Amino acid sequence: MYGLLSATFFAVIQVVIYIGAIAILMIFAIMLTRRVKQEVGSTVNKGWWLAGVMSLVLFTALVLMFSTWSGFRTTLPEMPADVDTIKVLGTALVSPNAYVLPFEIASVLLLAALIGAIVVASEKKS
Amino acid sequence: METSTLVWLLPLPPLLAFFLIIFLTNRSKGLSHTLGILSVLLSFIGSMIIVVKGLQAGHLGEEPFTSVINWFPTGDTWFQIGVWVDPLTIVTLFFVAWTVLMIFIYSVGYQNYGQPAGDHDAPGLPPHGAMVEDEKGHKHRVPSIEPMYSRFFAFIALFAFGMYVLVVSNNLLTLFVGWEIMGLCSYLLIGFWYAKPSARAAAIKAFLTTRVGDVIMLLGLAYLYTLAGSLSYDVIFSEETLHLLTSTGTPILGLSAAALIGIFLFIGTIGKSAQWPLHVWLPDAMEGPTPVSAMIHAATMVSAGVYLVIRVFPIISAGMSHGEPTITMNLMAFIGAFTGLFAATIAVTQNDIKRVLAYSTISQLGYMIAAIGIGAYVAAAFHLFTHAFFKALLFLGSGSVIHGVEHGVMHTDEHVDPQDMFNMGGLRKKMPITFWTFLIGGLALSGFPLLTAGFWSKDEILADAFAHSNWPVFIVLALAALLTAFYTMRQITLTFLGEPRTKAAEHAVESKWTMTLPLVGLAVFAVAAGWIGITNDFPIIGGLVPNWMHDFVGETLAEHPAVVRFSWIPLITSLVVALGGLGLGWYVYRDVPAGEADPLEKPLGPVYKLLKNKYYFDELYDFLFVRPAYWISETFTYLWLDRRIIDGFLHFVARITFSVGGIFRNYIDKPIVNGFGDFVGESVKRLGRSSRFIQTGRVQQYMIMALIIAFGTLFYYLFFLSQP
Amino acid sequence: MISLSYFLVFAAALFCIGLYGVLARKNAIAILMGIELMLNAVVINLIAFWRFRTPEMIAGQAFAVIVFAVAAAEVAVGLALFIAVYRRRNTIAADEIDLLKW
Repeated sequence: MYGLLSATFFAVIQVVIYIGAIAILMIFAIMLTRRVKQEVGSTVNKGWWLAGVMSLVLFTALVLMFSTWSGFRTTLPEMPADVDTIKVLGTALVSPNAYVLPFEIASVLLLAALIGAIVVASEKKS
Repeated sequence: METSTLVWLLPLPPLLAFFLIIFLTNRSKGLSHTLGILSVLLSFIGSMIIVVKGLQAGHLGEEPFTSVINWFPTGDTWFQIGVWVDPLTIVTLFFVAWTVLMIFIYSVGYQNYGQPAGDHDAPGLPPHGAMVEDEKGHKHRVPSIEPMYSRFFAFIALFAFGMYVLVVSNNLLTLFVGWEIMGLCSYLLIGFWYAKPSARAAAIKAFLTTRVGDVIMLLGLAYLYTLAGSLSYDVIFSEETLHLLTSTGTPILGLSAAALIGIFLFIGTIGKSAQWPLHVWLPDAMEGPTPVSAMIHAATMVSAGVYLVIRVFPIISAGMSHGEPTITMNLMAFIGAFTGLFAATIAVTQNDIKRVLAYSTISQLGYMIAAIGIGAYVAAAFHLFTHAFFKALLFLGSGSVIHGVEHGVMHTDEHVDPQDMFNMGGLRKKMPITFWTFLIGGLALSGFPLLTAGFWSKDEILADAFAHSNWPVFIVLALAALLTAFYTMRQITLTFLGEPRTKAAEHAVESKWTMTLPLVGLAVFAVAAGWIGITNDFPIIGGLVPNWMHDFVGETLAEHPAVVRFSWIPLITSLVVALGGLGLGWYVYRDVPAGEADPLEKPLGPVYKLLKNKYYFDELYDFLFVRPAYWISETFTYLWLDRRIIDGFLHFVARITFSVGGIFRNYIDKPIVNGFGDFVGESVKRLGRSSRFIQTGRVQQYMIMALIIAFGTLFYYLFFLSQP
Repeated sequence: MISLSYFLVFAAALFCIGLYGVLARKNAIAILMGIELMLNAVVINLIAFWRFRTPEMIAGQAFAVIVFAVAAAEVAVGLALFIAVYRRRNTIAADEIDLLKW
């Protein structure tokens, strides 16, 4: 789908991040938090029907909202040719009068998350 | 200093002595009696100076020494009090000063100053004597000193103050103040030995009886003040006031105001001077020590009653037309004469030496009041003057006799009543000074002719009665004089003449100089005091000495009283009754041996019994007044009114309060007030308990809640508010 | 032609599925996966709008990159938290972790 959207970078990113990192993390987490020899209870909690109802309501509301919007049915416009989207994205992310600040902050955030995760999940040596 | 200033100072030394003795010298007996005697000596000297000055001043009646100060404000003006010295005051001051001084000196000896303290003596009881050992090892009892010595002197000093206030005052209010102070002292002194029940009862009786008179007198004073606007002598005896009083009528029996006021004031005198029907307290007052009896009940306090009526004679006699006595005067003549005879009859049968003298006092006061009643102003003042001296003498003499016999009682350990005349006899040999002075006094009382003061004053009254052709008064007073002489001689014979009837009488001893000196002093006056009032046309000796008494005292009245012409009949009558009575008394009693009854008992029979029991008046009053008073107090007021009604009402109110309180508590306070508070708390708790289920701790439920509410709000805004 | 509507509807559906997963699953890791789904839906939405509305600006892509980064960071921290909670409570079911209940 990202390809359809000429966002090729994102297609790759999606695969790399989600499958390569997040899914692996989840598998590890599931492994670590599995209860041994536990009977399988229901996977959904008691109010699942309410949650389903809410989701459906939200979905229909969103769709209804979109359908009243004028720009809903626009077609795909032409991309300006000979623009290397990835190069432009890269330059934008590091150029000072573009988006270097959010980029740096995002990296700091990732660092903090990394350290935080390690601290939180570490075993306490008492 | 000015005379009027000196007069102000006369009552003060005894008052000062009273306070000093009470607060400072109470423990020291010697110091107390010194203070007392010194104070009355000062007043005595002051009084003598005033007397001399008064004699020197001419026309003292019209221009008395007087001085006033403002006391308290009454509306626009001030109520003024002050001093007033006119001839009547001078005469009264003279005898008051002398008798009080003599009695103070006598008291030192009477209360056994210098004797050892008694073995069992306690304050409140008469001293009982102490055992002493002499050199030979003999033990015998001697009289002991009175434990409450200082207290006695304090009280008689206070009393002297009261009397001086009364005599020098210039208005009836301070006179009443002095009157009441003396009433208080009389109570205190009659009940001096307060541990004796008879003394206590006598004190209460005296106070209450005189109170009856005092209350009515106060009514009279109040009425007088309302009408006259003042109580000062210069105002109330003035022409305008007297005229006002006689012309104002009162709703009581159609009497004029003057008559009513006079009667009320006279009722005060009936109480104070122990006239019938309020005479019952005086004989019982003999429970007090003898100096008390002498001073208060012979010379001064009871004289105060007579002084009052003499002083207010202008009011009493206001409205006299052509020498016709007013109603008040008739009443006074009746009561005075009646009392004179009444008391004399009782005195004939009394055995206690002091009781005889008490009834004699009542009788003589009756004389004086009868004298005023018939208009004999000067005679009444004269008799007051002489009576003070010889009656005080007689009482002090009787005290000396009692002391002597008591000494004999202690010596022989015989238990006889030292005051009963039938236990005495032959004392003239053992106690000569007492005997001779007592004899002089007794003769004066009986009216022994020429030589004694009593003769002149009594004769004057009889002459006055005769001159006004007042036969009832004349005859009654003559009879009373006969009886007076009779019982006086009876008393002297039984006590001094003949042979001793008991061992105690055999061992009687003459009293000390402190007691006999005053006796002698008073005896002089008992003889000589009469010579200042000899009627001018008395045979032989009349005219030798001017009738100073009449001239001097007569000035006090606005109109000089007329001189009574001499007449033989009253003179003969008084000679007969005096000498006859004396002779009869000696004759009947000259030979009464020990242990025998009164020789009059058999002949008089039931009359004797009646007289001995004082006509049963005490029993009558007890039945009529005392018992009902006790009943009202104990049963009616205390039990019914106080305990049942008032307390019952209070208990009832308390019970109601309790139940109302209980109702409030249980039905209002607890359910409503407490309940409301509890309700609020309880409902919050329940609300909390029921709504805490929302907090499940599960995040997902919170999120669902949040979403639902967010959607709801969103929809609300989109669909309802976006509509125009 | 593929219009914007398809992408938007697709993103909305993903979002709702993710929401259902968050609200209805017991396992905490399943909840986390639902959150990831929702974030993914958001990114799709972002990119779609960029492509269809302003393809010449690069702001949309930059924004999407940042969102991815944040999502990844958040997953890491979340999983670390779950491991820590598991150590304590020995469970990772969301409805059993109710310490904040009354």
